[in-house]
Amino acid sequence: MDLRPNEQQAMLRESARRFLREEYAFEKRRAYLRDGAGDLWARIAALGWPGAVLPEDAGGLGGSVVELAILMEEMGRALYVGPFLSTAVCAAMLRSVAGGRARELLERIATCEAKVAFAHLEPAARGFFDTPTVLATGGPASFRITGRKHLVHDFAEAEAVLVSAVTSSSQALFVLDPDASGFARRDYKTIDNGSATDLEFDGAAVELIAEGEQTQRALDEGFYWLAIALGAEAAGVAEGALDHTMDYVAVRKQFGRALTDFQVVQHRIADMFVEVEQLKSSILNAMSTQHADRTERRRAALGLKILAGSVAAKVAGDGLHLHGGMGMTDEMPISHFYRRARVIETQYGNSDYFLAAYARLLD
Amino acid sequence: MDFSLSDATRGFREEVRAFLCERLPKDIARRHARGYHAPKDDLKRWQAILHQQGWSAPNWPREWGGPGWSAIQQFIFEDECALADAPLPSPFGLKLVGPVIYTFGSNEQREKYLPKILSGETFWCQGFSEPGAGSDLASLQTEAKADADGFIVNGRKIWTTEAHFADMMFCLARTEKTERRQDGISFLLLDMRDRGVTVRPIATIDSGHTVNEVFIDNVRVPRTDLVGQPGRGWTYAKFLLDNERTANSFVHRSKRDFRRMMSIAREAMANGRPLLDDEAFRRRASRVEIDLKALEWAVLRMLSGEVPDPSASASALKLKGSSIQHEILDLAISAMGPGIIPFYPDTEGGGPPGNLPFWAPEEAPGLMAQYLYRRAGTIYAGTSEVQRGIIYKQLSRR
Repeated sequence: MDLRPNEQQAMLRESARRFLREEYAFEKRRAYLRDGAGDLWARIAALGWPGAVLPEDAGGLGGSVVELAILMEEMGRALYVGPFLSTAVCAAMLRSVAGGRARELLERIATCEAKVAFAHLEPAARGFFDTPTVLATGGPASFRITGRKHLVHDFAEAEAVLVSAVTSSSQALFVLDPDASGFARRDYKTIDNGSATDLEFDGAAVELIAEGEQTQRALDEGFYWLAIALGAEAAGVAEGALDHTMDYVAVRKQFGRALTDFQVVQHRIADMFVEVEQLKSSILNAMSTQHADRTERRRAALGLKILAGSVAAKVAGDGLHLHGGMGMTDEMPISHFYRRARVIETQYGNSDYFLAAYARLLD
Repeated sequence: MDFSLSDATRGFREEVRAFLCERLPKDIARRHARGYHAPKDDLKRWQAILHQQGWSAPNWPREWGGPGWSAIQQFIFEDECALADAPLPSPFGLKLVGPVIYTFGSNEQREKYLPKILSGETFWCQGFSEPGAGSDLASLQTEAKADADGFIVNGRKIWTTEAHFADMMFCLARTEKTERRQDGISFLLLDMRDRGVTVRPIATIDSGHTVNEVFIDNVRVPRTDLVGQPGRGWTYAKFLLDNERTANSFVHRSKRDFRRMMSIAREAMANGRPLLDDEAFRRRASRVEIDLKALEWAVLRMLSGEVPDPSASASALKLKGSSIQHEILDLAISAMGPGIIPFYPDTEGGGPPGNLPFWAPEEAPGLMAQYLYRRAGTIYAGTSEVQRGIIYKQLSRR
């Protein structure tokens, strides 16, 4: 056992951290969110991140969930907002299905040419494992879908969209061309400054990429990657919140002393650290089950998703409190860490939802 | 002990309920129920309606235009208002500066200011906190230089709720450099329309506009707008904060929030049945309700004077109240599920624009904005750390 990142992994972390610190500093981020991110994605693509997380069999650079976690943690720390997560989760699903269209799309992701969104949750859905109700009809060569998708992250930037649906016989995955006709869309903001879209399909033409058991495998793979990605991002968010809070309480003075001189403040900071460490360990637990059986892997992924949400929300919430009134302002990074943490807690299902799923697997 | 309410008190509750049912405008109640901040116009209209009824200042004695209600009647009134989704009247005039003016102010101040607070014609804001003076309020730097006619005030205030629509500010300013920092502070009434006053909005985590920074640049305050004695401002400020020993329990609002949470959980479907039927959720909700019921009796104890130490107990109410408030809202957003993720623009309240999703649960808009804003519950009006300090200090004196 060796829990240290290898040389390439360490370099990847270092380069991601440096890039985000310089090119995605908080003030630059603010400008990107206000005016659009310009060529940011092109520069990320030039660094090869989408390919770096993919194994060679997927056209990637020999990556895995370890590389995924490294990048997501740095993105969490920098409060990155963009289509990386959606694309990585779609890549994981595409990798586990056969077929020319999936393969082609995967290669375009690996070479950083394609951004892909995942239309999965529906208006009344509670989370990732809810069975879709979008209905696909037609034959093998031409399917059409009807129904609703909600909270499709990063749809506006995607060149292709994976859509979960049911056919007359099973669950299935389709690829939708976002420029196709046959659906209405509504783009909106999310509370953490991301973007999402609602889709109402009325006979939109889609291409089948998986059905039956293959769909299940793809969703399993997708959820595993999603949990690792959100877990690592949450660790970055929590650690970023801790760092910013440490900086703030060191300079903020009340009653003639820096806040950091108050024991009550020191203890809260210590507790924040304890939580962050626990979350980081849970990421290792989840990554260690990469090749384990389905239930064990599922359980580790669920556990990580639950800790990700609760730790990030707790740590960023404590950090917000220690910032006093300043924590409530849009101007301070801590309020953004907190909002992102809250979304991570709820994205694709909240802790209650996943805890119930975990409890069903406990034995 | 007698735990029953008298017939008269029960009748009073009925009367208040009937009044709210008949006179609270439906549009105001609906907007308030959402959880965004009430727009000025709603506050003004509602205050005028209350004023017609003679109920606009429940906490004021009859002498100054209040209804002369007992503490229990005030409690019932506020409870019914919260349950009916009436907006909470702006507290700065009614709850905070009003009692200071009728207790320590001059007759001229009473005549000039109290009637317009009652009617809702004049809105007030509180100029206490400063960038360098939050928990440590006594370190405030705003300076009021005395001359023949009054004072010239210079300084900077922060977190000033509703400053953007207030007509007047009650303000703590330093009139003297003294050994004990608290001794040099005076309590001034400052006209927000003075051209030396600049109000800058503070963008907050909920994307709403509630708090501001206020720059005070050579603003003249006439001698007649000094409240009480110069250098006694700290005492008046403490009186003002002590006056509201139960307000920061948030008990009425939390009861309303609990009800909203339950209705969200009833509507939300998990595994084909209402979330409220889910055993784990029911237990979480039960645990919070147990605390909420105890909180209500804690407030009633305080109102009856049956507490060992009013200052310590007021702080205990705030600590418990703010934590219960968070727990209820945590439950509400758990119940809402992924519906909390979209940013729902406050289309009627003038917040930043944006698209609404195609589909949103009935209770979703406003819920997250409220949740985020209420994070401040452990910060404002004395942080939790300050409250714990007060409790220990009081206990160690006994």
